[in-house]
Amino acid sequence: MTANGTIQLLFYLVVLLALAKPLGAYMARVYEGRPFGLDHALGWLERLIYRLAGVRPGEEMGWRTYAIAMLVFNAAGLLVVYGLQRVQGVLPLNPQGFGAVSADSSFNTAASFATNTNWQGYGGESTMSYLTQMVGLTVQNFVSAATGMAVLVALIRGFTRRTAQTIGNFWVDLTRTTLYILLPLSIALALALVSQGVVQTFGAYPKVSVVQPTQYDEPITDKDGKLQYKTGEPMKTFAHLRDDGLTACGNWIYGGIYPEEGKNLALRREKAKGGDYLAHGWGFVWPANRRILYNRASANAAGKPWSEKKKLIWWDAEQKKWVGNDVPDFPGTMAPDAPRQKEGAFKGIGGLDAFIMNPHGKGQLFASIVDGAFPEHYEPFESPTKNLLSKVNNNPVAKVYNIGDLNKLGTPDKYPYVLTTYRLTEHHAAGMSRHVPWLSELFFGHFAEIGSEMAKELGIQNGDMITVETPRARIKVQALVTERIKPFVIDGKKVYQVGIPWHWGYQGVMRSARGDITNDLVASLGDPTTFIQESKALLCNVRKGVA
Amino acid sequence: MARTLAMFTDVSLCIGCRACQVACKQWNQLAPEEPEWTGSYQNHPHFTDKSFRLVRFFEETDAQGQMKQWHMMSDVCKHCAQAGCLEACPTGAIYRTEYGTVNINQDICNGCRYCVSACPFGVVAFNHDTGTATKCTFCNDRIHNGLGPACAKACPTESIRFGFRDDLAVKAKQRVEELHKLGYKDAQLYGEDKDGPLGGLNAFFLLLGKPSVYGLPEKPKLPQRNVIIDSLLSIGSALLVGLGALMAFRDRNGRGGA
Repeated sequence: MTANGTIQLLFYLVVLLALAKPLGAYMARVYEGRPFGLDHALGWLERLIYRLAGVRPGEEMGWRTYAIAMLVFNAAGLLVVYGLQRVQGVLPLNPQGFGAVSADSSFNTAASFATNTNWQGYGGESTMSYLTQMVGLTVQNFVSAATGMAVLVALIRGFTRRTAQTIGNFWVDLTRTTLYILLPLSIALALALVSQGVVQTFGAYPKVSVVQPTQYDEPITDKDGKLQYKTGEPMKTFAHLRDDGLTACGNWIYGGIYPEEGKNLALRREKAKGGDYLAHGWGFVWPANRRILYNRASANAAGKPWSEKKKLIWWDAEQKKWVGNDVPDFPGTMAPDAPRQKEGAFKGIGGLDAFIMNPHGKGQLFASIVDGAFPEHYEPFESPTKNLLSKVNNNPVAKVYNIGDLNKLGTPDKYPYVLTTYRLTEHHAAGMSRHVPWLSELFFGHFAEIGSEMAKELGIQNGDMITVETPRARIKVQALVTERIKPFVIDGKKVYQVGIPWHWGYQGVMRSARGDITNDLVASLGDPTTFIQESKALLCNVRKGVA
Repeated sequence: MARTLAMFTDVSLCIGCRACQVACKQWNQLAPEEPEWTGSYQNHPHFTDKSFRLVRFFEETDAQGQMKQWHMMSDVCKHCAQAGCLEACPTGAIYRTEYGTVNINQDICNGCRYCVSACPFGVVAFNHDTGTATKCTFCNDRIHNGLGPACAKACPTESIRFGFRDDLAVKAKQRVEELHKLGYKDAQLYGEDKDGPLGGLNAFFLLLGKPSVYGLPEKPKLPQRNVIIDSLLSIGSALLVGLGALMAFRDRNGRGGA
């Protein structure tokens, strides 16, 4: 239960207890016919009601008469409420023009209100006219409650008048309950509601529009001021995208896949025909439906195709542009003899430089790597075993950062478990996904995955807090015990592995996004060519608890 | 009535990425919640008023305790043909659309929560901020504009597929046969059979094992099946109480009367 709910319940209980004594005393006077103040003001009304209804107030009833009067009255109320609902369509005070309520629902409501259970099996505002609500339901709210109170009073009288034959007059009890108890209470509470501004009307329902649509109506013009796109029109190519906020594109490489409303180029299924042997009418290839990258290389220095059979694009000297079977992957109007550009998007690229994504425009056959052209197996710097495949344990040219204590390495005698770190699909990264609550809520918090066998050995239950330690650092995480991680058998020895995702840190949008930093555990070692850090194969120790 | 729309979730294709969960929250603008420890990748532990989609994770082991399969299942409101929530709703707030889906009209819901306890799958949840019951609508606004639910749209492996129910049922049966041929002998459909429990589910599943492996009831039942017996019991006890009261007042009999 929410705090609000608890407070409301307590408040209700306090009010009930506080009212019991004064209200009870007042009610006793009302039923016993002793003077209580209001009878002076409203006595004439009470007498008028008795005269109109033909009730003889001095006449007491026995229990059978009392019960029959009560049942007859309730049955009549039930019939009235049922009838009102069935014919409300032709009665006044119905500005919405509600038709008759269905027979079953009418009976349900009538029976329920006559017995003071007030079960509303419908949406009141969309079903019942003002008249039905006022004359039917609200009246029953009073008289069915009054009936209940009258019956209770009769019961009390039955207990207290041990020897009497009668238990009061039902009609008097009903009238006095309504007139002297429920009506004053309801007026007081109605005034409280009015003072708080509760809406009350006999009018038809007003229509309110809660959303006001906004339209941006700025057409897009090209350099010469000619209309290029109307507002909302799809863009035909990513080349038309602008940096002034007037255009938008989900992902530029797919720009133009919807060249017009309702047309999706990816759904095209035209087969290759004629010169178009690359079938440009079949689907869409990003970017710009270009089929072969760097296709300038299919033509020689002069811009003529090397092969007639496999020609892709060529230079058309008359039109002064590249034309052909494919979309040019080259500045469209750059002639084969054009000099290298000094500035702009194609800076450093000339008419012969087909490989436009390289700054020099040329292709490369080899990439330079530090540790040789031939593969060799080396053990990680922290390993549970020596190199079983070669005499040299570790990569002799690996990048080892000389930062003292921050980069101490562990040995398997003190750190017997293999540690590997990784990312989870749900967290794209750390600095980004920790600030996205919809991603951060997908994991409970920082955890380490350990196999069930290892957990059993260390007495760790699924969900226990554990400490993972390397010579560099120590972190506290929750243990996720799983069957998915199985022990290795290395050189005849059983070795357990611990897996820790690394997305957590001290900042994050919610509790589940914050935790210790996995990368504190990692050694500062890099591969010789790219310096990518060693975060997959390390040694660690694990113990239960965080003390 | 238009052709019934349905969702077919093929757990053999689910990779547990939970893109569906996030897509659901984004489209329906549902607030995030602090997760609870579930002992697996799963979060949240159950459907809530802010989580209509839930990928459940189960590690199945064989008799020797060895890892057999890691199951992931994207769970959702089943939009049952005989919907417990719909039958229990006293205000008519829960209704069936022309596409056969089951929705809760938030303007009419009076917050009685009968639907919460009537759902055999624990789908319907109560929103304490609005005071109403909420659940998946198959993205009612999207399907009425020809877009399909956000979860199915986001699913990268087409584990969640959305379309006409009869079309999907054919594909689902083909897929089961395919899996049987590949050696997945326990592959079976859950909720596809219109003559089955609850008159068939409009979100049906292809499971790689018994429904119990995925925490699904083998034969889901409506709580309403208890109504007649319970009513008779209530009437019986009311009669007994009345009889007791009459006997207590019996000695006054002679003194009563009009």
